[in-house]
Amino acid sequence: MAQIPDNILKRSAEARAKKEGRPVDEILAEMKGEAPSSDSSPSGGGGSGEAADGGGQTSTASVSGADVGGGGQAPTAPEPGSKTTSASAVSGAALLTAVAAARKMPESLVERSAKARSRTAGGSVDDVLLEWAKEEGVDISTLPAASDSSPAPDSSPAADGGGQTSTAPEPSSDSVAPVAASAATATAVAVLDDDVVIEDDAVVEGEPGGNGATSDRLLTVIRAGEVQRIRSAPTDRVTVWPHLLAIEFVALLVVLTLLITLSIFLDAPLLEFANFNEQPNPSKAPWYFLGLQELLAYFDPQIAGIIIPTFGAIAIAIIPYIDKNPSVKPSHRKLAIMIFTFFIMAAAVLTIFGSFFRGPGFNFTFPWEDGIFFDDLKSLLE
Amino acid sequence: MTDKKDNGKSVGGAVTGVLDHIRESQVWTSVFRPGSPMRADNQDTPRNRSYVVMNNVLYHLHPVKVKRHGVRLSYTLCLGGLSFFLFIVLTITGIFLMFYYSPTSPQAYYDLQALNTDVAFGQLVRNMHRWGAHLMVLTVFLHMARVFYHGAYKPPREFNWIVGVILLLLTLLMSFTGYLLPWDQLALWAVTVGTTMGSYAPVFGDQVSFALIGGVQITPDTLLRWYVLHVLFLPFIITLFMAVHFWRVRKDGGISGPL
Repeated sequence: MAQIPDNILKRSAEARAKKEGRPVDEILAEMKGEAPSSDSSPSGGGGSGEAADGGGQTSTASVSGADVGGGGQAPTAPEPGSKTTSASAVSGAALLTAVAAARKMPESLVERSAKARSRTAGGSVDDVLLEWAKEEGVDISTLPAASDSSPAPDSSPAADGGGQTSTAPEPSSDSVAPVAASAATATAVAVLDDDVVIEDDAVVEGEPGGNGATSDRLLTVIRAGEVQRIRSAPTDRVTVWPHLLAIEFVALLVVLTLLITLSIFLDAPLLEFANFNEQPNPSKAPWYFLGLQELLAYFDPQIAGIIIPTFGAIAIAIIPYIDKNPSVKPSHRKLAIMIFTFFIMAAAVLTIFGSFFRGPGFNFTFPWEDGIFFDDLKSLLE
Repeated sequence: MTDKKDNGKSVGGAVTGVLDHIRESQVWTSVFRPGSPMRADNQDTPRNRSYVVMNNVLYHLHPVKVKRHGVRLSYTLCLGGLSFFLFIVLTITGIFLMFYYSPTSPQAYYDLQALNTDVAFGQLVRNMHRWGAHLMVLTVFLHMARVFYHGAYKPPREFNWIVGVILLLLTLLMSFTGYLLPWDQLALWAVTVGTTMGSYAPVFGDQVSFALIGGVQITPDTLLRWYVLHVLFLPFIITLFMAVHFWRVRKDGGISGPL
């Protein structure tokens, strides 16, 4: 959750608010509230089970896990039996059905995630289910009581506190992380809001009651979403339809309107029939070549007509291979912008000069004294 | 939709009913693919918005989603899209003009006179073609400047910049070849000045000039040559480069990032 920018968080909150018909502020608070809660999140009875081993209260994270796991009833972890009794009070199957209904998920998926959770974090499947039932606000008392479904041996890792070696399901430190990861994937499919606890085995030496035995300690809590998150930072994206296409359509209409209006009021020039024996004075190239024609007034035709345009075109084309500066910020590329702007301005000035400041014989003239010699706009000027 | 129907009691209700019936018909549904807002049962969902782009050949140029900053009008000013739009306008008006034009001397000039006076909307369409061409040179150029100032030619978009420069040159050539076609004094001498510049090219200048205008000087043969270049050869080439250009915009990561 940590790296999501505020604006995107806000947008998804808005989207969810729109979908569920609830106020945005409420959703936003809920989403933001999730992030900090991840370190003391309801990571299941398993976490509390592990917490009770070895040194017990030495790890604060473990203690807080036990708080949640015990549902507030058992502030100090080593309180054997408190969870076990409540877990066995209702039948596992009924619990599964209730949780699945509350989460609007198929029972098979809930069962699978619960199994993955119990395998990763310790604790029985029923413990996990009970935990989830509490999260979802399912009233356990209404569920049918269990007849004999209390899975006695492995349902009470919390009970083995008080200095005994933990019976963690997978004591090998190599296998813990992959198991956790795969469990995360399994739960992430179904239960997007769930956390996975990754623990490491550490040999705690000389710890009171430790006996030099292997012990687990909490390394981190991984939000389910983070395991499969894509590496690139999230960008704010919108659908092309209608956001982009609407703008493009309006731009298209504006330009078409402009073009038609211009065409109604301004006729394209049509002078006299082409006459090879009568060159008009001045004769000018199309306006986009007038910058070059202007250069012809200063330089040899070889330079103005060939070398400058050829090298100009090549220079423009190889800009990306010359400009090695990776930044696109204008403040980081002042030189590049300066050079480019200089040539653009030079081209513009030359073109304007050639268009409006050149009269008969292509001699310099002021348009406000001798008139404009620019036949492209002849119909406008007449 | 049914709740809006008035069971034909009023004229408006009858019209709505007929329209609904058409929109629900098999013919209508077969034309507009799933997700289209033209469909009767369309709902505004992210999935359907994606379908609008994926299922429509016209919208297929676009990705389903773009970065939010990319749709800001002030970022691109739509210059690339408008250049393409003007190309389409020029194609349509150009086809119209071809109906009334024969690239021979002196018939070409008479055809233009007839176009201006006899043909319905002839003058208007010719004006649109001419001003649209000038406008396209302008938008292509401004598009290039915009891309430069955004640094949008930087890796991985280097090659697309080159394609863009080629497109700019092709646009100029398209405009220049069209310049001769009215076969009036303006056309003849503007092109004379322009092609004279080309003949200064070292070593093979005369050969280039000869091939370009089909002789040692501009003749009625040049008219046919430039007509073919203008209406067939250059549009064909420019379409190929445009296809590559648009494709690379998508492949190189869409529109460039914010400053």
